Amino acid sequence: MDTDPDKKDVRDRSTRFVELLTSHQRKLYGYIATMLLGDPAAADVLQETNLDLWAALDDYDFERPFLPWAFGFARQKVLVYRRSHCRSRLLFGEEALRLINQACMDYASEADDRLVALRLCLQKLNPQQATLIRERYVAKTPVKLIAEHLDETVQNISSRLHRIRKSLAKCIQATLVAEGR
Amino acid sequence: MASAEHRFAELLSLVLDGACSDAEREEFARLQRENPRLVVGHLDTIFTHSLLQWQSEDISDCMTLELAAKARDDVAEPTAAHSARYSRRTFWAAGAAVLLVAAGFAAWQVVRAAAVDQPIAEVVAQSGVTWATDSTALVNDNLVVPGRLQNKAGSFTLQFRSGPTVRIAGPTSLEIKSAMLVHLDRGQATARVPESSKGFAIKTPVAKVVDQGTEFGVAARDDGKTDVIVFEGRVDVQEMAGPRLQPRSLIIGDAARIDALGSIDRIMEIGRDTSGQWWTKDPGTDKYLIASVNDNIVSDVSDMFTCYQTTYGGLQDDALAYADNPYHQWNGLTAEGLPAFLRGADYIKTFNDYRYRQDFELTIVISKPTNLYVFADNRIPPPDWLKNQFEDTGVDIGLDEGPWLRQAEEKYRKLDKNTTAVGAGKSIDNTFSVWRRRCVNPGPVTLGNAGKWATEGKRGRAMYGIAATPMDAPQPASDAAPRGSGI
Repeated sequence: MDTDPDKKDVRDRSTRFVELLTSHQRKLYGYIATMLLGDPAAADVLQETNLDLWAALDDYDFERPFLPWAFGFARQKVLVYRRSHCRSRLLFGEEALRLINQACMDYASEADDRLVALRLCLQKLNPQQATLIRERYVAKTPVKLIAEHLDETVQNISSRLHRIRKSLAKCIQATLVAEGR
Repeated sequence: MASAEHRFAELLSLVLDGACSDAEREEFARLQRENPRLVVGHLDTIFTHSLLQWQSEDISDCMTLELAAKARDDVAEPTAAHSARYSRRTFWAAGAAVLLVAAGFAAWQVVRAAAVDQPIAEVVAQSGVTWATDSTALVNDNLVVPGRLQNKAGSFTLQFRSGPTVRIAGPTSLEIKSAMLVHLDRGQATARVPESSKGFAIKTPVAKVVDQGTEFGVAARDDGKTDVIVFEGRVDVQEMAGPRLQPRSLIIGDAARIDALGSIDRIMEIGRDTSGQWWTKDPGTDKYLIASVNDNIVSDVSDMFTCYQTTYGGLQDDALAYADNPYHQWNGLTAEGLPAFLRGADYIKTFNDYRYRQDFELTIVISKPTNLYVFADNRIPPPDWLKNQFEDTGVDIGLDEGPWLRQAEEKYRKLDKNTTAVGAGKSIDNTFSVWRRRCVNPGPVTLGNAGKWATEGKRGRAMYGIAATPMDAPQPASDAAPRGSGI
């Protein structure tokens, strides 16, 4: 057993930090993905954020809440990503980003509860809605392809998906309120 | 204002679904710049979209359970005839299948007609298959619904009703997630995907391979790595780990091995049999005449994934000549076909793109006494390395090149009257001399470049082909006294 108190402290800090990092992955992803408007690169940006967070382990004060501190790193990575991808950079101005950032932090801090609620709400979809959501998010079928197979326009399919997402968002909110979360 | 909000919502949905044009994206950006608060009312929807993306695996299970529950409700009162015909297990499996297929892409038309009674795939061929008991995707022996398929041995072919054909070989464990997604946990799958099903994906523990209109193979190896090879067209490969943000494209003739850390390496060669089966070769094997193939293309080119394909016993009329071309075929010059001494030979698909590389070298390691043949383009003088190491047998064969304008735009391709003919002696575009070297001793043989014209501006040329037969196999008819060169 290692009895050196300095080494033990380092190990304890690392262990506690890993626990914090892993338990907040969903919240961090939710924050990043929303800031990036659902860009598939969100998972990569999360990975880069994790690396930055890990590199800053020595600077972290365990007396402070983890999430706001981690969101700061995530926000920097999102901005770097947006600067390096001109198509994404077109999407939001500074004011919109500020508004999104604030709301994102609220939503993301509730990510675990929201996910539980989402699972309940998915069970309320009718078969057609469930089919569409499954193809879009589980099979990851491009919307263009879904539209071709259904002989509909991309706009129609995207509009239907948007209505389902909106319904799910309302359902999630109602579920959280009903359960007093 | 109301119309701006409505339009913003429309454009937002297209952005989230990755379906907006550049013009629509610009319009979306302009609207939010003019009124940044437009986005506020949609943040809960965007966040829901993020959760759906993040948790796609979880919601898959969740929705599967939900659909199965609906299935139980709908078939809660089966007829006596049904009860008598089906065992309990079959009954529940079939009942769940009825609703589960509603989630499959192949069932779109069925969903529209509010009828959901079709599986998403069928087992259309099988050989020596031993199914594991938890093959939940299998219904009535050959129909396939979302669920797990495990075979302990043998091979089988799945025909998805949405178009893709997937051949599975050897001990395999996979999960059919939908008509467009298969999780391959162990074993080997080879998929041919029609244009209409572009986007079909095979996911392993370390990589996701998304078809872009092609034929490709994926092997989830026992050592945890994944092999990907593209036989035609293109696939996008996304490593599950590693620093790369965007998928990597592999094109016809490419093969790569991905590990759990996201590193990706070139696979230099694979073996194939005459049924199309493929395998990645272990270096140094002496089971075959050709033990290994290796070129001198520098390995520090990170996006170089070209892979030689050796088909054992596979040389015959209409055999594809190059790994990077889906049309060019070796053929005999007359209806009699390829000369008898070449028919059934092992042969290597080389890369026609390498015909212009003057520094090119290919090293073939021979494991047994072998007749090694090189097919050299008659349009150009034989290069020195060929004249020095090989002898011209005096026999010629042909290359049927097929369409010439395959890289051109669609409107020009329609004008292309050249096609690949079926059978020998037809549509021969160029002739090749068959050169032979009798390799008495095992060891390496190094071949050089394809050769070149003495002066520039001459006609084109094609890469050479390579074949091998056992030393005691039939020889060219004109062969009076074969001489052994030894190596």
